[in-house]
Amino acid sequence: MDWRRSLGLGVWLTLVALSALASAAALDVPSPAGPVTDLAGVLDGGARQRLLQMIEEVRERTTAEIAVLTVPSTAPATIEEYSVSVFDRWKIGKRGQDNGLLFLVAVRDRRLRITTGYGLEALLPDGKVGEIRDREIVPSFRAGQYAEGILRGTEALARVILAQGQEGTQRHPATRPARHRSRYWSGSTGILLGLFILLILFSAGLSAMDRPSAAWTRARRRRGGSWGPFWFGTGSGGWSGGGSSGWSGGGFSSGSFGGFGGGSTGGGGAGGSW
Amino acid sequence: MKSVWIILGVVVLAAVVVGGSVTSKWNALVAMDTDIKAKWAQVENQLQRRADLIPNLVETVKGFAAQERTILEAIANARAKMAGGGSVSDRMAGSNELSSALSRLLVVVENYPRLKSDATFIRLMDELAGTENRLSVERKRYNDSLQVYTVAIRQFPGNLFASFLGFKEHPFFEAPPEARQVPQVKF
Repeated sequence: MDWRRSLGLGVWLTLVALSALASAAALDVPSPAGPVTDLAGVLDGGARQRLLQMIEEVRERTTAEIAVLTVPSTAPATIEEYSVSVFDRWKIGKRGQDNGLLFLVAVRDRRLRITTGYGLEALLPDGKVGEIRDREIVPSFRAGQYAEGILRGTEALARVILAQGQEGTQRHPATRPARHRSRYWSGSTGILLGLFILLILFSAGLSAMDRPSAAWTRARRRRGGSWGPFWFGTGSGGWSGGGSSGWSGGGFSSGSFGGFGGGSTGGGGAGGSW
Repeated sequence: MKSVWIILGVVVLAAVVVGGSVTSKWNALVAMDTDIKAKWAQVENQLQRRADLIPNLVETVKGFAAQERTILEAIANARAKMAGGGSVSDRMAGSNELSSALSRLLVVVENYPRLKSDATFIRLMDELAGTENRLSVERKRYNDSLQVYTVAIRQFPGNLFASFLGFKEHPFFEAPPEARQVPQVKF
């Protein structure tokens, strides 16, 4: 039994080291206070109210979700990394449609980034987002009018999304990773089926013995997969982690905000400094 | 007579346990391997997207800075090399070569104010910056999946199954140092 214990310890230590490495690389991302999260404190009550109205109108008419976030700084991360981390954590946009958009402003860094979900890439190509940035946002930001720049930018983005309506927000077929489904094991004879069930029981028992390590479970969860019955192993290939389940432990300051819809991004969009 | 049954029982039990654990390891590795291939396909999507942007970019730059022949040729050559295909490692090397040629272009662009303020060029740079960012996102997702897989096939007892079942290590996609910084659009 001794060799098993030391082996288990070794594996466990490796996994703990790996997960520590991964969590060190993961960014500290704020929780959303709603569709508009103003951590830099640049939005007054009126601007905030108008933003919420616009965002709600877009959500109602097209199901697309817009999130506005202002922070003082994204350091030590670049604004691009920070945007994708926020997007991944908040899961902006409807699940499956991925029609989310994040408008991030890092006031002290003087940088902004508009990140589009997979489903909005066709509607809002990077060049178009850049055009809105140059025409609507940057002039106001340069004048120190942050609220005005955010309002005008959000309005221009919302107008593009609204113009295309519901069908425009369908996801681009080529850009979103495919979901991989496991093949079903089809037993033909009763004997095979019986043996199969027996094996499930055995491997379930084995897996219970095999997986006491929390680090391993965490490593799996980080892949985003629900691993399902141990026997099938494949689960659903890693894309099942989205949706409301991402928010069960959220802990919002405002109780009314139920979180975003479970969308994802590939990092498209535009940004820059002013 | 009784002992024969006990031995038989132990043998059957052992066969079932070994068979069950081999199968479950196999399935887990197949899932990870498929996941990595799907993520690599996403990386390829973005490589393709970038390659598609380059002819336009080169044409636009030529209109303002035709004398930067060496850099434009380096970009065209790197792109042609990427289009040639090859193994995953070749594609990674080709991609990094293209990234470094593009970042050299970004440096010389600073000398051409008219080019920098050209509307087409600004849009192209936005598309290029967005694509570089997508590429780095998909590259990170690929590397993250690959890390889990690599641990699974290298640690004991997974390494026994992996070599026996024919699961190989895949290369990590290391970003070139100059690509760490996403091309920035300055105003």
